[in-house]
Amino acid sequence: MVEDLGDVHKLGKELGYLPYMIDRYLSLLGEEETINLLSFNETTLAQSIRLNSLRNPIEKTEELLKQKQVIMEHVKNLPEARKIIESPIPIGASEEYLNGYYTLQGLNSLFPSKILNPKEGELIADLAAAPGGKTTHLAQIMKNKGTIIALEISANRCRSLKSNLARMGVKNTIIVNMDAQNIVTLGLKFDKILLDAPCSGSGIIVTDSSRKSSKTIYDLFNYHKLQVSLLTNAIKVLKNQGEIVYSTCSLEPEENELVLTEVLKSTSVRIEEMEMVGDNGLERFQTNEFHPDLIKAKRLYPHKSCGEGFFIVKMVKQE
Amino acid sequence: MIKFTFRRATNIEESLVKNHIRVEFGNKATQIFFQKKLWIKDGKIIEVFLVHERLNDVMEEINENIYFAGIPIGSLWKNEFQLEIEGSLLILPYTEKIIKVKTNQFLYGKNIFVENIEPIKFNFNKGDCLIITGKNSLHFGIGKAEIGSEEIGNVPSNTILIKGLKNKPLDRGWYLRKGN
Repeated sequence: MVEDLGDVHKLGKELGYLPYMIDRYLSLLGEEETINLLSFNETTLAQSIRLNSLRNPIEKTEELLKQKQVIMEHVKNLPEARKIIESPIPIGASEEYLNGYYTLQGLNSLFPSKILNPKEGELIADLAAAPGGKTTHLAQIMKNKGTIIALEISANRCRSLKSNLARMGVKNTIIVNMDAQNIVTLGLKFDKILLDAPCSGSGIIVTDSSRKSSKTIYDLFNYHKLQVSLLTNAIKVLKNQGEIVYSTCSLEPEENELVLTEVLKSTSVRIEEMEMVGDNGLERFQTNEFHPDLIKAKRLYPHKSCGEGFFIVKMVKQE
Repeated sequence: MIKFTFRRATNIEESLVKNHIRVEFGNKATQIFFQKKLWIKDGKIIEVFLVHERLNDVMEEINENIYFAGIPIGSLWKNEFQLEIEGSLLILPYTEKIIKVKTNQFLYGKNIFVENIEPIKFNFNKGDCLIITGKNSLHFGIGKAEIGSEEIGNVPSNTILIKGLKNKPLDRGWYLRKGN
């Protein structure tokens, strides 16, 4: 039915997208997949939760939710995640939620922490950490051992980060209210770093339709500049052989492959293979040629992964 | 950017906190301090954090803009320690002073009435700290007894046992009301 409209630009306009977005979707994906993406963005994403073993064993929480007639589905490769099929209770306000037995979290946003794979006892930095979905996930993977330094520039957002850490029973984290671009001033060297960078959010239109028209192409370049600075400074405070995961919930090459291509010129990191599903990173876009190793990065397109769009890449520092 | 003062608790502050826990919940409850240090965040509210020694070492190296660390257990008000949500959860395994409620209104910052509670198997006095749980022993928070346990059988069922305080982090509903 959608195809009958014939004109993808017309469809994009009807749905409220800025024209430049449709142009680049067509360049990135071609006509058929652009239509699929636009159609997917009009759907309602099923709620998903991450069961929090820091507070309660996963199987026990699952049992408690089943007692409340919540119907859930397991998710392949994400044993801590459940897709909510049906729930007679408000899933974001139950007593179990308030006790931190689980949290609401998009499925694809579980990948950055899993790919970083922090170990018990390591010193980890989580940059631009609020509201803390990934921070609390890192703590869960580390079984509350080791130390996480969570950096957040906004004092208001520190409040929501604090609330989530407390609710979820995280004990191994220090929140520092600072601009992560200045991380070198902390004087610490980290085993691993997660940089889920501030971004234009074009991968999450399915959950925030305002993004269809809220960011211009100029905004992308501002984000690009910030992302390059954050990543460059993060690499400076990584130990030799330390690992860093860079991710965004943006589909824009300027915020992803172009950031990496620029940073790789001036820093000594190599891109690592990752065991996860998704499309490979781009080799080129419009007039830009990207670093050849970026095919090891992964792009999760919303319509293909049935979730939020993500870009993820893992690097190892080699001094 | 707002500057926060995050510092190690003074000896006096440590005594206030530890004495409060000992007096309210007994010596056993002070096990929560094992291998932990107390830190203070100064501000309009003086917040108290329980920090594992391992984290403590890293905090000693960072000297700026720490906003939060470890577990927020309560706050200090005019030389009195107020145990709050997460502090009371830590105490839970070490105390009998637990009130089990049949309803959820405490999670909305509302009062608990005598008729809302399951039968009590311990004695308490007016003003004692009591930890609140609900169905399946899920933790709800903490409150102060408005009447003693010996009065419970002799007062109307709509007598307030524990006052709900919407603007204080005493019940877990606070995470929805004020957390974001």
